[in-house]
Amino acid sequence: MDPHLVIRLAALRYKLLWAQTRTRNGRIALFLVGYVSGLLILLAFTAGGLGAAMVAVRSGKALAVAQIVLGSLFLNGILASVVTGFGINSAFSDTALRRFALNAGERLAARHLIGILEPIWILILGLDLGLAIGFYVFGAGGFWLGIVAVVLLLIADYLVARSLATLIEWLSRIRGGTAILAMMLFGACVLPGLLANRAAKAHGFAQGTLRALRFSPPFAAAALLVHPDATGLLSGLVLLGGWIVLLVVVLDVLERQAARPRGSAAAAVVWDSGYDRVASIFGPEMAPLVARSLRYYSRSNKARINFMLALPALAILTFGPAALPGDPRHKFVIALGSFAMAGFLATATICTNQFGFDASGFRRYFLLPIAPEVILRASSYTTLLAGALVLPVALVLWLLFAPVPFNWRMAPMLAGSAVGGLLLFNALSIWTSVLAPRPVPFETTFGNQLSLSANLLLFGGLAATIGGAGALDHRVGPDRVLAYWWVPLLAVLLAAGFYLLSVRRGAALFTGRRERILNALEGRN
Amino acid sequence: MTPAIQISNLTKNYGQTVAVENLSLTAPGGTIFGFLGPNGSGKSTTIGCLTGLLDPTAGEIRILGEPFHDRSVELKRRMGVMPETLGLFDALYAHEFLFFQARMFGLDEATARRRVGELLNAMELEGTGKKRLSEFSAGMRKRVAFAAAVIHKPELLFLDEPFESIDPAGVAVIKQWLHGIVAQGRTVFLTTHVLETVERLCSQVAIITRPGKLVWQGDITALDRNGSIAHDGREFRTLEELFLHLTGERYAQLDWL
Repeated sequence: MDPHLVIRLAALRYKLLWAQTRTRNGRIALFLVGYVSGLLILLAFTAGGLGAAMVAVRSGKALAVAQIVLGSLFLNGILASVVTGFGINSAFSDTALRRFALNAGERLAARHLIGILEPIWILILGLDLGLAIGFYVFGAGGFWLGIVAVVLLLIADYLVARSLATLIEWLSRIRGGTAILAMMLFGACVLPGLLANRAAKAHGFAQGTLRALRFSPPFAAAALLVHPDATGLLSGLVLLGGWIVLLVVVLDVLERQAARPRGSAAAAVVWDSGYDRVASIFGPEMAPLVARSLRYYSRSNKARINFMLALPALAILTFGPAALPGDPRHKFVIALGSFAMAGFLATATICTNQFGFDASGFRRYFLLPIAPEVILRASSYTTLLAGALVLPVALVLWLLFAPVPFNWRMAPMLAGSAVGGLLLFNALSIWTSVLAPRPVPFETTFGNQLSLSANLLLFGGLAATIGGAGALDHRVGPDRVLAYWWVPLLAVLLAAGFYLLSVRRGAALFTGRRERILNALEGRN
Repeated sequence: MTPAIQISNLTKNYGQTVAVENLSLTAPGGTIFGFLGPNGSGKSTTIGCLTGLLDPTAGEIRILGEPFHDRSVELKRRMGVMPETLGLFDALYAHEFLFFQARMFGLDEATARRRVGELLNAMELEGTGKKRLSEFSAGMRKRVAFAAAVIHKPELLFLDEPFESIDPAGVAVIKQWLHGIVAQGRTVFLTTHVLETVERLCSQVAIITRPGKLVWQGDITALDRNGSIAHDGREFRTLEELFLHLTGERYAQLDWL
């Protein structure tokens, strides 16, 4: 093993990160990350670290506090990396590392050492260390044992996140894997609610769960932190060590599976005209462009998963935390808000960044014998069409299964809200696509690759529609809302007007900004 | 014959940076025209302006005798372009990409499918029905980009580094096609850094230096007949000698190498 070369590669990774700050977007990102990190570290050392330790010592519940804090940080590490994509995309792939004088073992070590030195894991380590040092300062734990516990926990955390990410990567490539992935994601969304419900009803369920959790990495680290006697030391170390060995084996197996080349043996050309037939409704000039986009989106794991999760997400938004007790018609008012997001939830990844998947293919558009505005119109119509596919399904499911007394006014109101929302958010997405384009690797499956403005649109939209519906329900009530059944239909007309205006103005802007968009998509800011 | 390309005082700036400065040249129709220059001299920027990808800062461009700015959509229909970065849609299969290109250029469905099949056969890509363009090798990608540029039988063909990464058999096929295209009175405008290829293939050449300034344009057919080109009171027996003389490039010596 050549440790100098491995260290130089880790340093190179940080140099590359620093190089990103040379662009305007990079500087904004650096400012935000620095600001948020600073705040988090401050919070960790006060509330999370020293503060938690102080609470633990004074309350006499050191173990429970350590379990809660380390458990939360462990889960946050996984969520931050797998969901948002921080610290999980390999800085250097095995293939890239083959350029250097490293053998297979050294490449593996280099890859994971560079991975665990990503800023997100250093931040998690800082937070864990805050607790360990707090325990030491207040006399509830040993210094070196605390350091060993949190370092081992961090390694286990990294390995779990990495294994999960590799599993997702592998599933996204195999036949039927996207469906399994969607079910996994749906399970991850509803499981916490189901478990909480079960814990509230079943006597002894919570105690049983806690007993089982004693064998988990964060609880083992907490035991190591708080019980520095020989038995606690041995059991904690054995448990954490065992987890790390197990996770290394699992990760190795998954990486081998994921690295297998996709089966693309020689195959004759098969003409699949389904996309072309659907696209033909847009006329001969736009049809090839729409068909191309439909093919792209149907092959993108990210787009497919978002599409499949749209209806479960809609159900969670409508019947989840925002739902109010009492009159079931409250749920209908909340549904008015969530239905406005239905089509957008399915297509946000593609419609807020309509050229992000094209990379240098974007260049091709301007070599075609069409006016540039046709490209934007075709792209926007495609996302509108894709989003519209979700709406009738959502409406039929509501009418058939929603536990709300039926009123004929609900159908046009929900349809109006859904169509109006789709038009409104697609109109706004034209502006994010033209003003804030971002290159997105086509093979990407997880992580949030949306631009800041697209994120604001998505999460702002969720807050505005669900929050607005909640406020409407609270202030006006279901009876009066139903009396004004024609309002959503009026909203459709307004949204349609705004959409047409955005297409028109956006097309002019798109033509003028095409060189800047091309530079952004080809990585030249 | 109408000139295929006429450029008058073309200038392209990127902010404060001048990429092309006051470039004027004429490419005659029915020829393979070589457009040469060192790295960063503005070749790709000029092609970008000629093909509608970039907006010129100043100057006038006439393509096939018509002003490009006013009639760009109609003229693009008569042009084929293989850009430097190829501009492929990576998630598509080769036949889908070529079919898309053919349909965008107005070919009917039956003709498009027939030509796609013929081009895939000629380019030895017929077994790639289930392989996305992102999985293709560099040479295969270049073949697909070339096929896309010619599928609608353009009158004017722009090729930016067409032979890089393609194997000798593929290069031979493309060269044969280029000669065929010119024999029918159509025009090829190509850039490459392989000067021996230019000597054998092109009849007319323009050489530019940074930032996009024309330093020489002329007939090079004499070189192919073991002749020479006279310039600045000197005789140049190869295009490489002339190129190095005009661009001020020199053979660097490194003692340790």
